[in-house]
Amino acid sequence: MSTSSTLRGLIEKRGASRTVDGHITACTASRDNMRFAFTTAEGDVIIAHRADLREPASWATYAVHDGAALALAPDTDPSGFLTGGDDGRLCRLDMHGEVEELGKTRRWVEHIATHVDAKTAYIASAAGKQVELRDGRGEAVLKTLEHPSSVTGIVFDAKGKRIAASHYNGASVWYTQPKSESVRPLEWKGSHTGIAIHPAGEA
Amino acid sequence: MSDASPTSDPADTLVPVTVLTGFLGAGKTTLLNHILTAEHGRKYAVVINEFGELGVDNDLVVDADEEVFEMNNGCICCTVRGDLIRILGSLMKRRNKFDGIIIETTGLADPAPVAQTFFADEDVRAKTRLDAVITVVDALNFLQTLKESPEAHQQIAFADVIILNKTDLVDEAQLKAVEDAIRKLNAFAPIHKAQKGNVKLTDVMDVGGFDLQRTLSAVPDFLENTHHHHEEDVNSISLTLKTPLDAGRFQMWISALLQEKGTDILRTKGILNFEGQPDRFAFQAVHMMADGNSIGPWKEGEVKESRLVFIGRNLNRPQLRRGFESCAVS
Ligand SMILES: [Zn+2]
Ligand SMILES: [Zn+2]
Repeated sequence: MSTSSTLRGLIEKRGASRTVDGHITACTASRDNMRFAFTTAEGDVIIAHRADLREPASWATYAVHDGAALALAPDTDPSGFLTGGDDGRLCRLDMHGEVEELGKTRRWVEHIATHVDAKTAYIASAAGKQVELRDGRGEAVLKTLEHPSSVTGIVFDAKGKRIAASHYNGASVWYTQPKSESVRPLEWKGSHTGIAIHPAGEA
Repeated sequence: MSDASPTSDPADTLVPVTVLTGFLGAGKTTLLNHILTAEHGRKYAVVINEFGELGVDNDLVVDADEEVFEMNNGCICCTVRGDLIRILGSLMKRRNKFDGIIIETTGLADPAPVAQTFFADEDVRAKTRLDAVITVVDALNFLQTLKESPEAHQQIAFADVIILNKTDLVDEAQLKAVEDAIRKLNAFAPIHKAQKGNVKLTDVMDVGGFDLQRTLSAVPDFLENTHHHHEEDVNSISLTLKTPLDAGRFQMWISALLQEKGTDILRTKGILNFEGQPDRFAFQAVHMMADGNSIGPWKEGEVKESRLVFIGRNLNRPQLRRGFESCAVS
């Protein structure tokens, strides 16, 4: 009780809120932290710029997916976002509000992860048992990674050298480097519903 | 729907889920399309597997993966559908988009993990209810299928409703033989005959498979099946008790029974009369996962008796009867 009233007080003093139809399915900040995105079960993406943060009426709404928007990640560029939907589409929403379809499958696109550093950039998206690894622009699929069951989470390591996916009875770790085909399976019985990699590496 | 469930029933706020099973070629997808295109003013979310025979004409169709997950208790019969938990969770975020959910399974699928998902997963339980397992049977090929695959036995045993399809392709004698074969496995599920999936919607949707009153009261006590059964056959047993039950004793007995024999007992259903309770109590279990709730008072003129039904293998009738009778108030 007291926690929620404290939160409400904070929102009123320092923030703003807006209520949408259906559920909010994900939220994240752009890479430059200037914009915030919220995806909805109606397939919309709501963008709040830092400058308009306290004026929800000026937040922009884009109809991106036909069906629910399920996954959201900051794009590899500083200001855009990537979204996945139950229409099977992987989409880019750039800072001008342009929507570009990067890929389409028959399955729900449920997870997206991105990695950017001085040398490389990657986009990974998961639909069903498959993870597609793309270049930073999202145009070329570098690898398609197959898993024994539906992927429940994907993450890059801090250097972008490896990508890991969680699924039923464990996780799989792959190298992002195009020449390497090998997978390191980490078996642990049970249903795994998410994954993270220690920022320092080997954990 | 019968007037058995009052509108105040909390179950009414839950999304009804219908599970469609049956062998490849039995006509599941035809039945599905018949349901979807019928004039009912309702919208359904449909979860299908990718090996479907025909296209499904519907706005909201989700591909399933039929991923069977074991529960953490190490028991072989305690399994759920991991993909369904994920899909239902996501669908429930768009609750306003549909009135019900239909799940189609592959021909070879064991219905138990699907049904158990509705018992085992808290989030699924909180928002949905399993309305019925509908098994589609192909009158022409059923007897052969039954010989060849154990899954066919499971699918019949699990059915709340059986659609006997393609009846136009067989003669009277074969139809009778098919019905007899079904009745040996599952003595309780209503059988509706159909051609090209042309069933009455009220026979398959919102039947309240677990509002058992109608189903169970339609079952006479003829079930003392005189046919000599092979021990390993799936079989049905029905027990009735006029004396009210002691709720505590019944809970003790049924949990111990399902713990011990849950692998063999595929389904248990009952309408129970607990001593001192004005309401009827509906009990149901899939293997060892059980659930129950009050379903409103006995109707006027209705015989207040407890009725319990088991479908499974190696059912020992005298033992089950003695156990059930020991739950009566003394
Ligand atoms: Zn079990
Ligand atoms: Zn027999």
